[in-house]
Amino acid sequence: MTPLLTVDQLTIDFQTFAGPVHAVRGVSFDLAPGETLAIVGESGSGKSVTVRALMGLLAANATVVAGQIHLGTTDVLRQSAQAFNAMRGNEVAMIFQDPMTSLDPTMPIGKQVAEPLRLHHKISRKAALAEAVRVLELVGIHDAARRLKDYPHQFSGGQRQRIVIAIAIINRPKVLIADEPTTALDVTIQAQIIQLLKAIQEKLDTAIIFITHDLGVVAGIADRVAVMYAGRIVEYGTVDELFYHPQHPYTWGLLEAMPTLNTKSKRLFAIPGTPPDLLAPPVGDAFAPRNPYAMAIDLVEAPPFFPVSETHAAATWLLHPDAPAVTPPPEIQRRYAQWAAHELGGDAND
Amino acid sequence: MGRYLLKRLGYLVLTLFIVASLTFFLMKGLPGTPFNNPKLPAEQIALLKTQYGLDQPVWRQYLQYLGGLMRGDFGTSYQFVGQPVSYLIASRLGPSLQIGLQAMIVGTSLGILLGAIAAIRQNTWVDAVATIFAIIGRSIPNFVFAALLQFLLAYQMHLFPVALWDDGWASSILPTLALAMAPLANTARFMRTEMVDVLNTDYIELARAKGDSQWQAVARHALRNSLIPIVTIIGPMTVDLMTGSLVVENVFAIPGIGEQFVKSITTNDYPVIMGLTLMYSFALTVVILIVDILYGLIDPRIRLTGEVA
Ligand SMILES: Nc1ncnc2c1ncn2[C@@H]1O[C@H](COP(=O)(O)OP(=O)(O)OP(=O)(O)O)[C@@H](O)[C@H]1O
Ligand SMILES: [Mg+2]
Repeated sequence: MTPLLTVDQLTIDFQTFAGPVHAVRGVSFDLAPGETLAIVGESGSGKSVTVRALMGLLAANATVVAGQIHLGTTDVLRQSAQAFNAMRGNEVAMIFQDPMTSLDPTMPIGKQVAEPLRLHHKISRKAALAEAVRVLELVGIHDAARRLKDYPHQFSGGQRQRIVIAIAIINRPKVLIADEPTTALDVTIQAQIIQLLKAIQEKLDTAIIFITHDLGVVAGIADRVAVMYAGRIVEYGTVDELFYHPQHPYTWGLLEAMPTLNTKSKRLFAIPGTPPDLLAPPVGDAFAPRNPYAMAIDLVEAPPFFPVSETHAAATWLLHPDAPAVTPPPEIQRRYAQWAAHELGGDAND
Repeated sequence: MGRYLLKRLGYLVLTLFIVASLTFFLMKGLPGTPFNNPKLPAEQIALLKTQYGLDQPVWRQYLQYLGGLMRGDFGTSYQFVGQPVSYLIASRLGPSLQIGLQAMIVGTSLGILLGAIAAIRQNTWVDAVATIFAIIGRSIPNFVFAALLQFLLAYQMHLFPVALWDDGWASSILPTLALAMAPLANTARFMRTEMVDVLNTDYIELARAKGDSQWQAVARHALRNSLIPIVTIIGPMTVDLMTGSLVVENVFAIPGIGEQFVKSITTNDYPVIMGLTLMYSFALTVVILIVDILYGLIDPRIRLTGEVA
């Protein structure tokens, strides 16, 4: 299928007093209509910056140094400000992290939900509000018609995130970006919001980019996963490939750090060390200083992507034919065993 | 809302009662008398004192004064013999009210505009110019502005009357501008800070994500939210205007309340001073009440109930 969205070698710097921060360093991915791509990575890895570039909502001190984004045939980064305004909230919409602060506290929610309709279509106020009621009911706000005049503070956090979702989907966007939409919510509400996003996707056939640093929620929603580290994608593949056949030591670390039902100790494993300073990213593999499997070449040259399957690739020198065989951590070996046993991907050659 | 208003009106009366009592006893405690002309013979002074009831015990004078207030009688001026204080105030309220209101409207609306533009064009030359303008407006006293405006626009360019209150609306323009400087600078500074904060909020980002252009996001979402805290400084700004008016009216020789106030202080005209103090207190408490009601109107998170003090 031809992709709906392609991001090609996107490179973004922020000008700061200390010098340019290389926040995104050559990110490429694509998105098929109706699919869900999860972008996973630690704080500061460049997930938000990447999608903000797509929305045209980068901070004033940001420069797109290189790369392209195509939405259908539109060259997103080279369109005028007006064309960007026309695209935002219409073809591409976004849900933010904190529902408590995402809504205008002084405007009734009906007006806020109807606003994107009024912006992008010639439609009367009454018709727009009627549509707002329909969409609010769709996202699970009961008795929406009677609540149109209510203000955000009259709703709970979960309800507010539903309202934010209603705002995002009212124009039936082709791409819905969800930037950690459940991080600020408690666990039961998280699950409801994920369910809601899945239901909406089925109904509207929207493609979703789901950003999170919690691998736990990824399995429930994504078709494919891209793992980001220090401004780069280091591994991508289908959910099964990433969860049961991961190749990059950073992905291993993330999976080890993921709490599971049979995690016995209260203390969670975290990847030791901190991400590199993006003012001066290290030569070679940015993950090398934290990587117990790092080799000499990691300090010299950044690894290219080595394909693992048609849908799966990882940027680690461990996949180079000349690299020595390494033994992954026990948790990953356990996953490899499951991969082999369930023949999830056919040949489990490890 | 009804209960709330009733409660607030109760507080208003209480405030005025306290102000009236305080000023009364303060005036009594002051050393000067209105009849301290050394040329006046003693029996003349005694006569005057009897005439104004000043020979009575203080508690009786106090009760009489309060009783008079209840009936809307603020007493009689010492300086303008036989003139009731209420008449003196009423006849001079017009010009003061006019330049005060004009200055408030011009000052706050230009201030809001200036502050908003400075915030939107943050850290550009526009912002720098607006900031310098605000600093000048805040640090230079309004009588300097008054004199400057008089000199430049009236004396040199002959655009407006230099002073006095005899040329209709044109007479009010320069005093209004001189008086508007402080609220303008204050609002601009406040507005810029608020707007910068609001422009960085998630809901403005969401507005942009909906497809709002920068100006649409400002007009629909940022402006109203930045205005909420501005409402709180209307009270203090009113005080500034009242005190500013004392000076500006004198500079422009406007027959207003401020000018009257200054004159009555220099002549120890106690009844007029007390009447004016009460009037200023009344005006201020009413402004504060209006501000609180406005607050409830523009911020849906605030509900006015009898519980709020
Ligand atoms: N306006 C800015 N000026 C300078 N640096 C910035 C700016 N915005 C982002 N950055 C930097 O870019 C990097 C990537 O930030 P980004 O917000 O994309 O991280 P993220 O992956 O979304 O993290 P999180 O999980 O915390 O949301 C960070 O190092 C951040 O400090
Ligand atoms: Mg982020």
